[in-house]
Amino acid sequence: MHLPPKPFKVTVRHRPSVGIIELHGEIVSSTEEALSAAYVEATNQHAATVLLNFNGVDYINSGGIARIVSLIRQAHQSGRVLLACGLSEYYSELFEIAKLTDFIDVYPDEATALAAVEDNVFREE
Amino acid sequence: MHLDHSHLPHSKIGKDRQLHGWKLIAAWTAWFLIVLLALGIFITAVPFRFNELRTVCTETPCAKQLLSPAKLATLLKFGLSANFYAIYLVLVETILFSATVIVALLIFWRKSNDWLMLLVSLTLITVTPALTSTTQTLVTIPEILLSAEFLGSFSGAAVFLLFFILPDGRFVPRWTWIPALLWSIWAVLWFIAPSLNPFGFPALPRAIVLLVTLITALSAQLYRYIRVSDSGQRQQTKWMVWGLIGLAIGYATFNLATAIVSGSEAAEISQWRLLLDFVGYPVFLFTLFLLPLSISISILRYRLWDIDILVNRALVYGMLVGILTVVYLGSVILLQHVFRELVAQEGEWAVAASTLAIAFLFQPLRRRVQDVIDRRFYRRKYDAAQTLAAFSTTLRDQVDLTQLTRALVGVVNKTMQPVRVALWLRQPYGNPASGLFIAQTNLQHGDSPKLEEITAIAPDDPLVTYCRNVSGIVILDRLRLNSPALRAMKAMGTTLAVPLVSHSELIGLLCLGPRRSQQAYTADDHQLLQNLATQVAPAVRVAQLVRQQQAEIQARERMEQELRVARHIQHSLLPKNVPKRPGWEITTYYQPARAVGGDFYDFLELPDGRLVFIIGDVTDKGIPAALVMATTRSTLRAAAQRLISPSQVLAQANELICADIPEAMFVTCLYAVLDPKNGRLRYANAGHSLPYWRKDSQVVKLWATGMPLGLMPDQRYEEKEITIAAGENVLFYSDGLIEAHNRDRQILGPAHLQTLIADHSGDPPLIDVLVSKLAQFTGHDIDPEDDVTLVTLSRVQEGKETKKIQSRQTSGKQSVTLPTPLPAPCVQWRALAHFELPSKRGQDRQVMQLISEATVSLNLSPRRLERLQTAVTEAVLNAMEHGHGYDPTKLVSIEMLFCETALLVRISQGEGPPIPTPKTPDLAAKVAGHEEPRGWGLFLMQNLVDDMRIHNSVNRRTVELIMHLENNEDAPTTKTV
Repeated sequence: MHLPPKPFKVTVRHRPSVGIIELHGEIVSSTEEALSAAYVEATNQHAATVLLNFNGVDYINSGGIARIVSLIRQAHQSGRVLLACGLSEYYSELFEIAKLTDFIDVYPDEATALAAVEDNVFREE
Repeated sequence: MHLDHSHLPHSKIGKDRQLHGWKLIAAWTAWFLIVLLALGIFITAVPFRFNELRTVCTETPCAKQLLSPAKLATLLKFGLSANFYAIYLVLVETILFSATVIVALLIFWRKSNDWLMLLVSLTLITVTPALTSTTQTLVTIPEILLSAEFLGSFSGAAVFLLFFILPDGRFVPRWTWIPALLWSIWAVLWFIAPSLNPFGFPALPRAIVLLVTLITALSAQLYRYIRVSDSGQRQQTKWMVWGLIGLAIGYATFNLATAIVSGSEAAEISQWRLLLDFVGYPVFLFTLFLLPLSISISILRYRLWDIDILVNRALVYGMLVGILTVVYLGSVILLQHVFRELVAQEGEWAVAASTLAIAFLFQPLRRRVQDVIDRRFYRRKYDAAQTLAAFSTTLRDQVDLTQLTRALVGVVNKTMQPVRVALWLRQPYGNPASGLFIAQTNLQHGDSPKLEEITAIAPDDPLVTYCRNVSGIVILDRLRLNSPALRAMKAMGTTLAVPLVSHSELIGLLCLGPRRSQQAYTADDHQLLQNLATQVAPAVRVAQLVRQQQAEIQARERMEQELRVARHIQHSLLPKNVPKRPGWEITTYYQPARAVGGDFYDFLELPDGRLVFIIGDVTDKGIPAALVMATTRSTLRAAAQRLISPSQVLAQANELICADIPEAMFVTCLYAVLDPKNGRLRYANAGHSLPYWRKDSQVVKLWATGMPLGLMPDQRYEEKEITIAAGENVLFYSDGLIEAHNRDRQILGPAHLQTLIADHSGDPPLIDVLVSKLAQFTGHDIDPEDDVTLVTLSRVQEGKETKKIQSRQTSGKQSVTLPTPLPAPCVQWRALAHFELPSKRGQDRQVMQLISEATVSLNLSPRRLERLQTAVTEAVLNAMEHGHGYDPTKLVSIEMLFCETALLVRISQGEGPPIPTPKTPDLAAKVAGHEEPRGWGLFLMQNLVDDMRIHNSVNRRTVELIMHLENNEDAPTTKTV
């Protein structure tokens, strides 16, 4: 039996004031570079919010958690808001266990997350 | 071993015709006289014939190739003499006669005591002089003429007779003896009145007589062919008919040509007449020879002389020559025309080009013609070849033996159409009938194949030996072996055996009966069957191997299943808990052998507070032992409720067990009752290993005599009593301990055990010492041969009772070397799985998969399974990365144990820095950049499972992850250290 690791893939989309990072495959320690690059791309249009879409993610290990912590740190340093959506129930639980939810708001899906951002912007205005 | 190729296929009929005694001598004498007469006459006639031929004939027209004046003139014109002409023709006639005589002698030589064959031989010798012109020159000598005419009558009668009785010597239909008799009478009449000899008739009446004769003869043969003959006889008839046709064509053509040429004496056709004499006459004589030739072939027939092939080849090459001639002539004419037009010259170029074209055309055209002929005239053969070729291409994919053999028999049935077909296969090794050839019984195919009625062919049957050594098809009719199988096969009408040989081993025999159409198998059929056998044999071999393997796997699975059942029974009978009494420490250790031995132990708490200890061992292993153990346990338990005295309990149990126990089985058992209040231990022993009592600094064997339970009824058991003082202990054990072997096949032995007990200082506990000594003695990687059971009973000194009552039970050899005591909550841990993985990156999913497969039977909820998978994967990754630095030669071990209430996964690495205690990561510090983002593994592990323990021993780092099985709900479990 041999199960090859699923390759990590990332695509970045832009909405007004939101950079969306769509993640696919496994988030492990080796995904660091791809994630950083995606973060840079997501924020190059001065988005105030970065949304991580975990819909296509099927595996996160401790190395992956560390990579997400790095992203939180980057966002925190540049004063951006980091959101997450599309996490499976189990990984939502894992986020809670690791207390990542203290720093990232988790939404069930992208639409809800974007709606929340709009709401927020509207309210701030 | 003797092969008689010349033997007639129908020996039964042949035997009827055998001559013996005076009949044989008379026949031989007659044969000899007639042959002598024929030879004498021919030799006498030769000079007369020579003279006749070189003399110019004066009659018109000149018969018998005699020289007419015109012919002589033509001869001289070509520079040839009359002598040359005479010598040439005499030579031709002599050669023909000699050839016939040789054939006749050959038949005599091979079949000299068969009257029919003698008649054939005589007919051949007498018919040629009668037909050729040589002997007819003897008319001038009356004395010889008489003999010559006798020969003529004889051969005339014999030829006709033979047509009615060949090839078996009977009149078929029976009334044909009437025309045969009439003809014979007429033939005798020639002898008296030569004018009645039809060969002397004028052309037209002669032709009519001969035609009627021929038609009658052919009708008789045709009738026989269709209604009576078997396949071998048909083959013979075919030969004769082809010979007869050849003769008829030659005779008719030659006579026609002679009639045309003789019609005119004109000078312009004299050269044609000469050609007729020089070429046509010898050719005609040769066609006369065709009949004796074909008859002799049909009689002395050899299997390779297959008339169908000859006819086939004649058709192919005849057609080929015809086509090529037309093409050649056409192209020569065309090219010459073209050359004349283009380069105004003709000649060699056209011929050369045409020849070249023919050379190129020959092979492809031959193949095409062969194909057309096969398809048109040999449809069956063509179809058979196609079907077999198609079958062969599917062979490689067929590994199911039943389907393969069925398909094989089906395709043979379809293409060869035998009345019966059977496939015998040698049974592979490991089979109860190993080596025997067994007829396959699953081959019913349509209505035709009946199974062979004998059931098996012995591997040393001469037929098997013969088939192993021949290459190619075996024709059983021709085989003479002292073989029961051959006799049985022949009796059932099997005619062909096709050996299936793979890797120079005979793996089977494909046996065919005669064709349903009664046609004989041709050489082509033999070739097709042979090709089929060559391709099928390896496929059958592979299919047999596959089947064998499947059977082995099934047997192994069945055995494993039995083992599991036995183990399950055994485990379910062992006590779940160890009784607790203040001031006493009871420890148990139980290690089952792989084959599941018959050890058991039991505790009973009597109402008055006393404790019963039972330790026993059933002879034998597996399920029978487990069942006896169950019975013994319940019998003892029942007896213990009613009786106080250990000896009485054993005696009563023995009575009950004796009645039920299978033969050759018995149970050794030690039964002891402890009164915890005063330390008195009463015991009786039914042949079990003697317990050891450590008393102060000495070790005492606790003797008590008694026969094992179940061996014989009416036994008395000695009963003894000791009092255990504080600080003393008693060891009960099974013989698996003292009879354990080391690599040098030495046993541990009671003396060694006694020393170990004497040397024991009290800490670590005696059981731990014994277990580790046992492991050292046998070697860690050796499967225990027998169950090992240990029970210690210690009276604790006041104030020293620090240790908890504990119990060990393990379930396999990997547990012998436990680096750490197994944790609560379980008393009995059972092995679930054990994996070892090389330390390589990217195996996360593999680990998860292994965990999910191994835990299928535990019915973990999906969420808890996910948690466990993540936790184990984290532990494995840590071990590989921090422990082994991703060195693929170093293995990480994942050992899974379970009990009724919990699952334990133990992840061990051989080396590396000690595993730290997990701590909660400071996320704020990480986000602020004061700490590395990493360092989540241990924290996650600890929070995903119900319990986690870390053991850093001298040379081993182990993480134990425990998942409770009772509270198997998906409730979130978040803990923080």
